[in-house]
Amino acid sequence: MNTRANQKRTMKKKGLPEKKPLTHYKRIFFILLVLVLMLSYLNLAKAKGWLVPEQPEIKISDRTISLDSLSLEQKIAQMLIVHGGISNLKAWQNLQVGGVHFFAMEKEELFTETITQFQEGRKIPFFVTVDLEGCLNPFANFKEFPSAIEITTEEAAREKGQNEGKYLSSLGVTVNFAPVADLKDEIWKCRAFSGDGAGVIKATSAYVNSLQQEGVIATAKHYPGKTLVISDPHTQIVSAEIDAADVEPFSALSHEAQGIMISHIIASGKVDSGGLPTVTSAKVIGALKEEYEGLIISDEINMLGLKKFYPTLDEMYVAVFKAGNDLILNFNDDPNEIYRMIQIVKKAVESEVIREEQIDTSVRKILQAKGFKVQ
Amino acid sequence: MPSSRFWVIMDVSLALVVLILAFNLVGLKLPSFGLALNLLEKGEAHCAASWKGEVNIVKDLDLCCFEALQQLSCTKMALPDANLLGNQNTFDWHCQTGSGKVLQFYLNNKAYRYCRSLWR
Repeated sequence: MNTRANQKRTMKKKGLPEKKPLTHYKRIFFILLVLVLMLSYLNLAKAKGWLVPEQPEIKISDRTISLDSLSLEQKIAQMLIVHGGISNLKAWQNLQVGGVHFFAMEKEELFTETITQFQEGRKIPFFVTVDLEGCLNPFANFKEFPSAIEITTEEAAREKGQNEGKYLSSLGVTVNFAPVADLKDEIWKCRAFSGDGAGVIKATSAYVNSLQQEGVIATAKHYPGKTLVISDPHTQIVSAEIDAADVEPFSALSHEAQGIMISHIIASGKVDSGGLPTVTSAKVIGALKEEYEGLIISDEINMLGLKKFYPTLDEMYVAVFKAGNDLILNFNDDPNEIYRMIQIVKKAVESEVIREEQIDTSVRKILQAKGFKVQ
Repeated sequence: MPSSRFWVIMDVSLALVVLILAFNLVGLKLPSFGLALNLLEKGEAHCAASWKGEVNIVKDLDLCCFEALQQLSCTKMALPDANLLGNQNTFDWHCQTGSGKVLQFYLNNKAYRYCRSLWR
């Protein structure tokens, strides 16, 4: 007290204004301000994925990887394809996800620069994926390709595959989610090849082979067919009766296409998903694996219909892995959610809901498709 | 000098901001703003695809969103287009990449807000 009184007296003597103590409200204000700043920084760090832990370095010698050298988290991450937004570059690199998918961009240089940035320093490169198919073209701002429906001959399909393959290779794209092997496209009217069943088989086969000759993995979609038929708007997930003709293009491509994408539809008939969305049906994917050795790729899993089918998001994550998909497309832009997904699946493997051998088989296929020998 | 009333208002405001930031940090998810607006807005969500001038309503909204949001840009149309499908529906947003022979998408406000909420 005395000291304070002395200070006051000294200040008065010197002609200095008297220093008033902070009021109670002011003190609270400054405490809250500090809290806001701290929380803002933490939220920014979270949004940027800076809180996502970095995975340990992977040991590779002479392009050979030992599966045992990968942690379970690294294996699960390799099975994911995420949206390659540049803002998440560091997070996706830290997580070592298997692939990045690109949407449309303004300029060709943007594609090449972004892909180069993503791949820089990667011991296991990302799969770089796009949807250049049917009448969808993420490069349409600067490069045109004919739509699938306009292709009427096998030769034209071959030429399309070759041109697209050359172009994608030059950009650094390694996987194209094409061709559509559904027999009909009643929704968009331009994504499937024209013609009858035999015509579609010839066109898709020619396209797949010429695309892959240019070093780009082709993905026949959407197994088991009838995904692009007009759906009942009152149901969340489309149901379809699959007949033998729907599956034929996929069977024909099973020795050619390096990837097959699984649809969300609930299938019955020739392919029966047992009331489940096909993408989470172990029965359907298991049967497909008996005749097909390539990569089995899920369609994007953030469709609300698929989400609503499961009581929780966690159950959906487990279901889509447990069903046997090798690669899972999750375009959620939040790296924390992707990391959480990895943790959920990891727990399911640790509690033996999902077999680790199944994960190993998928990762082996993925690494081999990326050009590695796997021990 | 600001009055004590001023400080009280500032403190309460900051406390609210702290609360929102803390909720966000621990991952407590409130329904997204877009989804909430979507639920409140009357009328149906409409998404249509146009290829070479032929316009079709896409009944599977999720599917339409998935493709529309991959386009280079979605721009708000100056005037909602009521004529695309013969006055049946109006569209407020146009999503496209380039101007060539590729699919283009039209969405009304309700559909656009719903789509935006899907990947967040």
